[in-house]
Amino acid sequence: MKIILAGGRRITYNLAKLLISKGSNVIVINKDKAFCDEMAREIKALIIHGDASKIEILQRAEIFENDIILALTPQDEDNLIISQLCKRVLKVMNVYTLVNDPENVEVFNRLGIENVISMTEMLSGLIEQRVSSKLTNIMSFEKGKGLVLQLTVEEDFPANGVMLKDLGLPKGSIVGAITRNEELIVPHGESLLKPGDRLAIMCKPSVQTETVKIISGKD
Amino acid sequence: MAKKTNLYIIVVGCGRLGSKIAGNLSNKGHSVVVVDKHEDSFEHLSQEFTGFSIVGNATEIESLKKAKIDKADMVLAFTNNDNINYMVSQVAKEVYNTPHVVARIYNPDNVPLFKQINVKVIIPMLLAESDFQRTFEEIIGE
Repeated sequence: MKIILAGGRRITYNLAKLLISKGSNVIVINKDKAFCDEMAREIKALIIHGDASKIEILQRAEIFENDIILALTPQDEDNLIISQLCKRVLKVMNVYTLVNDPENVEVFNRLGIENVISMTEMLSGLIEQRVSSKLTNIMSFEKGKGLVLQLTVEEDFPANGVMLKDLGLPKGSIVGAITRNEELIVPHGESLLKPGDRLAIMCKPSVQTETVKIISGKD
Repeated sequence: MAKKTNLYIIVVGCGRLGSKIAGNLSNKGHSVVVVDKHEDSFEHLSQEFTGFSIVGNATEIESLKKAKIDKADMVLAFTNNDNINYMVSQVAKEVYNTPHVVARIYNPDNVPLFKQINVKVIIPMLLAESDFQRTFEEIIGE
């Protein structure tokens, strides 16, 4: 299995280095000659100089159906065509696509590209959570259908001194673990929340805001 | 095409081709909107053009929404970038179900990809080639 990195600069360089250090077989395709030369000096990967949005360049990488390709150029339209050439012509199953305009996540999904990553959306999501609540960590799984939130209970939280069953958390939200004095407790309905408790909450994105509000009293 | 006298047509890319076609269509009585990311390009539009122009990057869905792409009978993807034309075409066809989409493409290798999404293509290279062929025949025929 190969991992093909199409386009991109620093992200491509660092990703290639990381993947190679983990033993992956990496191919870099880039239309910038100077960048290709630099990559060829710095990393042990096959470097192809050319425009990855052209089928003949992609064919040079001899991509197979079970290979992984990442479209990392700074232009959404280039990433779209790279992804479509890989999916529709080369029948590659694992295609990951970077977009700049967050609105293009949905657009690309509708055009049949499932794995779309918007750096803008990810960063703004992180910032919003930091600013608006005491969330210390957040992780999504199952392509964003589920979330794990980490929240530390404070003195002034409505949840302080309340039993889990009395919190009134919405459907689709559950406190999976409490870390108290560095000890992990798997809670039940009678568990009483105390200041300093670090909660690991599993929930659906649709009830994230409500869940955080019930526990912390803040949006 | 069903006989509809006045079509709502969006022309993406107001270069020499886009501006000329937009003028012609406007002159024939169709409602035409041109989208281009550079305001200067609207200077290419002729006097006979009576439609609207929108400054915007067509790869941002926002610009296409401003042009009311959901109402369009026809979208012409005429920028000088094949990849942008492909994106605009696919968005028109598959997100907004635009009945008719025509794209200008430079690289004939991309034709199958456009055909797959049922977009009609104009390939200047092939047009020039067949034109030359005809000219050539004429010259030696003399």
